[in-house]
Amino acid sequence: MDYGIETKGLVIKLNKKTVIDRLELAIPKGTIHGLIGSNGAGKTTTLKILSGLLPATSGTVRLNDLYLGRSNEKYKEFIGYVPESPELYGSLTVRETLEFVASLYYRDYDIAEKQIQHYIDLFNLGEIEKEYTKNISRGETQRVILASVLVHNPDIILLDEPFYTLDPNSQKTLRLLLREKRDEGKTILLATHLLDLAETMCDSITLLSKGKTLFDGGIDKIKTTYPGASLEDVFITLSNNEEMV
Amino acid sequence: MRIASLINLELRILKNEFLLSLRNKKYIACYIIVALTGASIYTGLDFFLETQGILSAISIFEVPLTGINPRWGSPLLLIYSLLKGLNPNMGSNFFSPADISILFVRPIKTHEIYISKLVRNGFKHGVFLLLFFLSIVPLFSFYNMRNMGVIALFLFVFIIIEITQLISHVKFFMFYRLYEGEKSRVRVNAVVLISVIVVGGVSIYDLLFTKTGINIFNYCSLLMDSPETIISILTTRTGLTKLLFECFSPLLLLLGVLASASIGMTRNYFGVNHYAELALVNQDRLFGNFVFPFTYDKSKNYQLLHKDALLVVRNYGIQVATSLLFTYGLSYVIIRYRDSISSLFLNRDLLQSALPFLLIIYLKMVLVPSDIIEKDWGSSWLLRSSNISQEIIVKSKVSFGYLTMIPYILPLLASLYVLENNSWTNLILMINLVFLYSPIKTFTSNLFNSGSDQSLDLFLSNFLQILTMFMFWIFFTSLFNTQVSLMFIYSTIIATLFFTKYGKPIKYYVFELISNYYFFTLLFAVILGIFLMLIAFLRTTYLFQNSGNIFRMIWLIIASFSTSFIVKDYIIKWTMRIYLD
Repeated sequence: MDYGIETKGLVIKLNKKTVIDRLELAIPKGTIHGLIGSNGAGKTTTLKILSGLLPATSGTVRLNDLYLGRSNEKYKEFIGYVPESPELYGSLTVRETLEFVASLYYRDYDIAEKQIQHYIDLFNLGEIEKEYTKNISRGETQRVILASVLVHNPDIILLDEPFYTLDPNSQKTLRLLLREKRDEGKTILLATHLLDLAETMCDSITLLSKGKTLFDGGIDKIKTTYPGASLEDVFITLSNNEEMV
Repeated sequence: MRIASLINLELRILKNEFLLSLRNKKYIACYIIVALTGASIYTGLDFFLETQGILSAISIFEVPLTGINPRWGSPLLLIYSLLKGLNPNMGSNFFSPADISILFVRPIKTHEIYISKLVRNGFKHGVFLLLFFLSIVPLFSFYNMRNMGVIALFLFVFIIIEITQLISHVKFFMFYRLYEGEKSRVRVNAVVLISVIVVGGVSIYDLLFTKTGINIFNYCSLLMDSPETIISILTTRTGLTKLLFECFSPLLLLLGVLASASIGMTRNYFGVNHYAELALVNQDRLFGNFVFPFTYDKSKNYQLLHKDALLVVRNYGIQVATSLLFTYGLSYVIIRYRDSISSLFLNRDLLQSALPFLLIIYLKMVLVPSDIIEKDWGSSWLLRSSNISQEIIVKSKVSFGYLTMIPYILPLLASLYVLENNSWTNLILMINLVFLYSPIKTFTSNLFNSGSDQSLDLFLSNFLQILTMFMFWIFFTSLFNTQVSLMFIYSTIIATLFFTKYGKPIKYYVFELISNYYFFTLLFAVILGIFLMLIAFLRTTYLFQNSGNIFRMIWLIIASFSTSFIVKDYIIKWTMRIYLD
């Protein structure tokens, strides 16, 4: 099968503590995969490694047939990463921020401008495009980050709690957009602890608890393995079992 | 192309920061103060240089360089840069949180990001240096310095600044690589400890067993054996050529080597991203997850001090230890080589006018724990997450500032006492300035939120600190030298301020009367203060002539300390007001 994201034996240790323990991910292209777990489960750390921000202690990471190594410029060409608590340059306007990001990917100014305008319209940023980002709200910051991440149309989209600060309208826009991207063949990894959202959005999920994988597979597999149970019930049951072990 | 985009981004951020600040009255007021200060220096210099009596004050520029042994200069610079390199929090100023979200996750090479930051810092340093040079133009005219000479001097200072910065970066990247992992951390600590023991041992041997001092500190010096004066080098064509070849060539070479080394270390260096992330994690750990008993009990004021002390020990332990050793080492060198150092300052007035600047530079350089207080302050973490009032927080910060100063200040005062031929007057003035440093620093940090990484905020905060300290220095020296009638008036004002501040008026009419009097005396104090400063400014050369006068000494002690005490209280009040805003 053609995988967008593939990890083998991924281990991360920070300050002697094992944050991720032998994580195996195999996410096919054109799917939305949920990375689910409670606080401290290792979701954010996993995304930081996949985006090239943190080095793994051991194991391999492969995205679109390219292995993560010491030099990752090509690797980062096709990634779009939305961090959990994004920060912007407060002294730049919304449009200036998007223009800068687009200038890193597009040589043709017209194409870049077209893409910027598309996402400004999509995320309803027209009213604040000339505002300095230090003056915009947390939810607006999240929308700007989403636009900046998608402006180069990445093949792999890594999202860390992207819905957390968004208003209902923007949440709906993002949900529709992610489904659209999936249909275009993009691979999406969504880290969240909102189980209802994961159940409705994701094709497959990985349940994490304290760095260990409790479950990995499609939503259908959960429904057949645990008939009648919601994702929340399954997560609580598996977490409690793990703690007892 | 990407490097061009990055440099464009950094310069645009600087430009926007400036444009944004023009919308704020606070910043406009500060720009006016900066401009007025520059104009004062310009006109002051012009006036002084025309007065024959003052010429001796700047005669250091005409001192032949032969015989001046700057052997203590090079090792001090090296130790200073080493200390900078050891600072684990340094990187958080170099890379901002937005760099993680915007730059590190993009297809940009790490060394390209690093170069763009170097260009930004170089541009910033260049602009600030240019402003400084513009304010001392009369000095260049006085010595008939040609344009090329001024440009050469500008470049010289600029290169020195950049070299210091690059040394810190190279040290930092090396340090970071060494510091990865628990085992290597222990190894680094051991190396630092052994180095300190070796250097300390040699110094003690030098002090006890040799008469003239062995030349262990005698590093190479670019100008050491030059028979010419600084001015003759800069004002003659051959001198300038000589300077360019003898000074600039090795400096440029050093700059090139350091730049290549630091860029080379960031090239394809995966760990830089990691380090930038860790710097943020470290900050979160400092201010977000600190376990602290939030139910504040007024009878347990030590809770706050305990928290600050723990933060300093946990995060700056090694640097506090090394900077303290540096401080005592510096004090040792000054006392040991006091004659050579005193010979540098042939004119006492020059040392006198340089003292406040030396003191401020020293305080800013070695007071490591103050950084942590500034960042803690910037994040307003305590106010947001506890039931502690802002008054207690401000007072605790100032108190902690005093506590951390004591071990640093003692060797400094001892050194100055020796350098200043055992003059108590300066000691009193220095203690006053040190006493005021903590509240002034807290105030300016809060005014400009220097916990943030904005260049303008940091510049203006530091500028105001230096300016305020210098103004108090002039004010206190003028107090010492003022006439008896003025002493009497000032004593009345001080007594009134104490009475209205700490006394409790019983009757309403008394309160009203005192309130009015209080207002007028305050106004009068301000006017008088400005007047005294002007007198002191015009009579710099005649100050301290009566240092043996016991009456004046007692007057200075009482007047300066009571002024400092009142000023400290007012600064704390103003700080709280800004904090609430």
